[in-house]
Amino acid sequence: MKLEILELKDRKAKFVLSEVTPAFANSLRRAMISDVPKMAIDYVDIYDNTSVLFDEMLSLRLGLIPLKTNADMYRFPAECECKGAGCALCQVSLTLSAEGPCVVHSRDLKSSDPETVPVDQNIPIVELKTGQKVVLTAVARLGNGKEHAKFQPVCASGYKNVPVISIGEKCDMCKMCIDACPRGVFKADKGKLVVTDLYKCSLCKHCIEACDTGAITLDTDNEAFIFTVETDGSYTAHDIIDSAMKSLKGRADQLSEIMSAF
Amino acid sequence: MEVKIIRKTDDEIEMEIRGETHTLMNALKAALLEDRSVETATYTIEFPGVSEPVLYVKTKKNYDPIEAIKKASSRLSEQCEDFLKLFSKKAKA
Amino acid sequence: MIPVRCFTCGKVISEVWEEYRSRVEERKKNLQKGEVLKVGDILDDLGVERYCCRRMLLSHVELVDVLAPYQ
Repeated sequence: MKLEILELKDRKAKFVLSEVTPAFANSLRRAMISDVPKMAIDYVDIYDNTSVLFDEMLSLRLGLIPLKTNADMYRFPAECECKGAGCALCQVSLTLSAEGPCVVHSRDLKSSDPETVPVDQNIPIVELKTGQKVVLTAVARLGNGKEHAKFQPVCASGYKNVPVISIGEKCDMCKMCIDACPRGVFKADKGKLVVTDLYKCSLCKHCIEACDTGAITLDTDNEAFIFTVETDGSYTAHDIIDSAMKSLKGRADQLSEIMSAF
Repeated sequence: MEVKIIRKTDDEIEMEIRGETHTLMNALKAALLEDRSVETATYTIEFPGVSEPVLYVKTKKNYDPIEAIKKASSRLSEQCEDFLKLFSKKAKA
Repeated sequence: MIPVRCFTCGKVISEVWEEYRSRVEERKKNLQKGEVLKVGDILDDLGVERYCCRRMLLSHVELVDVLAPYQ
């Protein structure tokens, strides 16, 4: 197994994982999407809502707001001592009360836990005109991406195979491929055609079409994957990759333990 | 996770792994197929979202399929551990 | 109201909506006669990269003011 990290920011990571099976890569991707628990608003008590949005719509919008999550602090309601009734160990309540004229933002949500707060401050929830009012209590809980997309800590996360571009001897340096490539992968260097940034290639095959001599061939490496992970801010990208892999490892360990018992 | 054995002979096993999804099953299948003493390994989820995955393993002579699954899952676990170590090392750099 | 997230990829795009709108309004004011309004660079600057997210902001029509009188 080889790993090369291309980019590791708070909210975005890019890395190349090679010498693994496609199944392993896919399991990592799936685990990142659905096995990393995240806090999201799941239940809303609406005391007053005279805004232009229906109660249901307002609640849906609240659910989609990403909350900063510390999964070590909370339990799944089903696994909690309170047996899902709701207690401080499995849920956080956020209150919102506003009167128009104003725009209600995610920053106006007052959380009972200073660590579980909206990540983005400027998400408009609803616009209130004069005399319109919204008073509500929202309850956030831990959930899995399997349940609902609002519990997914990642957005647009996936992988693609590492491209294999080979330039044959038939190349006559017509430079057509350099212009044809939308990602600017090729470059002429000292009278030779070279690939500058392999990971940029999107496998569109425009270069093969442009090449009259048929010197360029394009293939994919089936054991190397370029991963892109983008988070919604509930965790850092580092934490998501780490806990997704730990969750997969936990399952494998559990199975081998069960099989030992037979 | 709960395991229910549906059918077992000397070289074959069919078992249900409750509460699991493609996430574990596909990686496990790939790990089983790396074993040269395993003849076939496959799994099916009859109906998505409703059914539990059923794993089928057939081994070559004198090899307990349970042993094969045990080894494959610990191999998968090791692979995960490799990744975690590699990732934390590279992330620091 | 602007959807909280991109329908396709799930990125939170509403975070930049107000800034996007005010910058587009600003640009509209300073538009020369016959000039076409272009906002691509604003979207780039706000970190809205993918075309699925870009269309969320580009094609959004705010209906709150239209609906407000009918409560």
